[in-house]
Amino acid sequence: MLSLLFSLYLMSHATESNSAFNGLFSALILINIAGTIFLLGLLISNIRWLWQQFSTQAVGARITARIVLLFFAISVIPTGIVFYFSSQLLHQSIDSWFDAKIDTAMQSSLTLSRRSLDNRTLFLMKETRQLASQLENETDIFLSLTLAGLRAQTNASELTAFSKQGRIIATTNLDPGVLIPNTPDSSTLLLAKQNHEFIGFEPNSNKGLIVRAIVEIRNTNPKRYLQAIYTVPEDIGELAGSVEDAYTAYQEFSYLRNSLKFSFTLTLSLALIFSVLAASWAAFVFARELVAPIRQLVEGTQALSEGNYEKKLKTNRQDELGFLINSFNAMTLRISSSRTEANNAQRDAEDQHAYLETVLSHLSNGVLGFDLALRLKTTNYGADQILEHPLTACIEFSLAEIAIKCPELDAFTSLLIGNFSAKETEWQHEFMFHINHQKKTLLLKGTPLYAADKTLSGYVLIFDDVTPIIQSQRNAAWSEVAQRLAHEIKNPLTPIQLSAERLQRKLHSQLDDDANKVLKKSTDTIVQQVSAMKSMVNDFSNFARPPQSKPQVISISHLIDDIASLYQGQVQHLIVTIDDHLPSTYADPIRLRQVLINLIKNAQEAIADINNGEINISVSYKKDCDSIEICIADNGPGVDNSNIERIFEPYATTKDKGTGLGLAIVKKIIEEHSGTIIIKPVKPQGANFIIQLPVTTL
Amino acid sequence: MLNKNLNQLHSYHCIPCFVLIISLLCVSVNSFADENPSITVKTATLSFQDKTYLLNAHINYSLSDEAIEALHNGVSLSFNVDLSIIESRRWLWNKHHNNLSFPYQLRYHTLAEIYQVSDTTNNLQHNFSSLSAALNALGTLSDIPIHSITNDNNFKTNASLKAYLNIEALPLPMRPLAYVTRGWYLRSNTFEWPLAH
Repeated sequence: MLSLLFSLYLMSHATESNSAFNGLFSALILINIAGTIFLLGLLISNIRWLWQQFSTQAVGARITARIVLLFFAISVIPTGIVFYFSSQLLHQSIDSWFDAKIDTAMQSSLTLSRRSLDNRTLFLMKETRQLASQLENETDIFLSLTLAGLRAQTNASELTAFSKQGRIIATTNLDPGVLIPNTPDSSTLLLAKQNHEFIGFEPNSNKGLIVRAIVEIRNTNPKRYLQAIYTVPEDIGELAGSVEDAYTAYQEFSYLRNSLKFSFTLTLSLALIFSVLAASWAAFVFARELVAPIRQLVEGTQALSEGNYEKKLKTNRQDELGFLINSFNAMTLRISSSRTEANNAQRDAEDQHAYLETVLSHLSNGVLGFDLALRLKTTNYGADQILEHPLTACIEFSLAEIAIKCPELDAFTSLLIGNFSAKETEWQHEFMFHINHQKKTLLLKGTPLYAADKTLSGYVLIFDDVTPIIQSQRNAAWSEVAQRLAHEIKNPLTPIQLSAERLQRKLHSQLDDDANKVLKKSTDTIVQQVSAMKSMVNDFSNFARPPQSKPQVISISHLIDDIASLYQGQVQHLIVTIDDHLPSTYADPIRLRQVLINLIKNAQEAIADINNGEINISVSYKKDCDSIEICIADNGPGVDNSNIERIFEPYATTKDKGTGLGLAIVKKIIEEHSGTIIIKPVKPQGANFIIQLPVTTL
Repeated sequence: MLNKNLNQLHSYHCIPCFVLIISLLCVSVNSFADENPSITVKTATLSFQDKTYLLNAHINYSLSDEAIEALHNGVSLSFNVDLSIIESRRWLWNKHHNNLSFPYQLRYHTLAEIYQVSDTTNNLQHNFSSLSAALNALGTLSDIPIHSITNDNNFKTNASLKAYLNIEALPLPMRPLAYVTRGWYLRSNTFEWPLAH
């Protein structure tokens, strides 16, 4: 801009004589053009940036475009008007400096000067001719001698004689100090030779005028020329010089008219372009400054809407926009802290929920949660195990829907519907439950669930399978009974047996044959029944007080093979299937042998009365529960469904013989080994005892 | 240059040649503007005499129409003749030991209708009745003593000579257009020759 101002200053003084800064003008113009190109480049890059902003629908693009257009209009219109009128004024002013009259006057004054000088030169020409005539027929040596005398007779300041080729023959000067004569140039000499004479005036080195007259000296051989130099009087010379200077200056000025117009127009154009470009660039800078905080705010709000509450906007502004950004930052800070608190609360709730889930999942009790519409909301692993149904798949199902989906749970759901619908207080109920051919006794406890505002929000059911407890109580009772029976009955049996034997021995000789037969039959019956009673009492005793278990590492497959080999001849079809790689386990082999023999014996008895009786013994390893499964199945008549639930209870036999303690003892031994035994009917007929023994090692 | 002219006048042997050149110039003066405007350094030598180098050169000046028009309209034309002594280096750029500039001015005297050639260095001027004679005199450099150059350099040196119209010496309003007008671009080739020690 300074360069531009300086250029304008120089142009304003362009018509003046040499300025100290004239030499800088071209450099300044170049600097201005370079500056203009630089600004143009800046403007183009800014326009491209704005175009990209528009293309991408960037925030603030429209405001920027409006501001730039406004600045452009504000700068272009006034500067354009000023440029136009300044240009017109300059052109008119420059044109007004020149006038045809002045041209004519200047030309006339020059012509006048020439005429005035021409009169004088004509006179001087005549004088020179006379001098030359005096030198006719002279030799070169004579010329040298006579020139000095001739110069004294005239007004010539210098006389010189020279040859046709321009070689100086002789010379004389008014000033004796001047040794070198003022020789004519080649073209003058040529003119002189062509025209035999020449006269002209020319400026000398002292700003004055001299007249150069050259005349051919006649009758000389070779041809000689005389040149006379006359000094124009100083006053006339000054006047002529003044006219010449003025005319030359005016002529130069007139010649420079178009150049002046061009240069002024160029400088003004540069000023205009520079101003417009600078204003446009400034508009971009201003618009960016203005739009930057708005863009920041938009980006901030977008980030906020996307959930980025940590977004901070930076600003150093102290104006209203800076206040706005600071307010935005304060707002995001508050939102962020609130969100953090909410997150923490949510995390706590999730932790609590996870804790409850963990607790519930590890509870052996079943826990079910319902809403007010009795839709299942919560269940746990214990509930699934007890009810033997995956209730997790029934979440959001109502109790009625669960009953439809799982018909086995119909009685269970009906009970819950009845109790939860009728009462809003805690309730407790013992429920007999049949599932998968098992009878379970559940202890249910229902309680209403209240929200924080004390309103009823749902129900919770906690239940437990008390069947093992009842079973153990029953077993304990049976053990007590068996122990008492053994104790009370076993004692009188031996005297009875001994008495019967003594009666037979003593009375044998005293009675006749018929009476002896009756006696023998009676005493045998007594002894036989006493023996049977002893056997039963022993069984009861074993049930009540089993012998001490002696576990050791055994191979189930070997045990099965041993036992099966005992029955190979006795059973028509005994099929034994044992998995390879069956793991060893830690168990009492004697007690297990008792179990297996008992079960095989039962199966043998079951198929005794049918054709094609078959016993299948299979042993396999169940990897999922890390246990050995032993199945002993027969195709006998099977067990009635009504008895299948009580088959393992003491004295629950369907056979005519036996004490009814066999399966009870079997179950007791299996349970002592932490295993399970169940019975499943086999289709079309038969029963399958399934034992699962956990694989335990030392 | 004036010395040169004097020497030419004194030199009898050069006269036929000089007259021939002048004649040729005069014949071609009308068609001068039709020639391609240019400045050409025809010959240049530096001779060592009396412990001083003397520059002799012949430069052919051919002015453009624009330059002639400006000259006839009172604009003085400035020409510079630049002489450089250059050390040629194989791996580096050439080193300039001496840079000398000889400015000359050509102007037209309207009243006397003659052309003035001024040696601004020595403040000498000479008048010519024709432009061709003035340009011929302008282009003939004869025995110009160059005292600043010594011959004690051990390295290989070249001398270069170039002549050009100094646009910066034109009147200020003319310069912008002169820089972009071909007719004002009058600049000779660089004439380079080895400097004899």
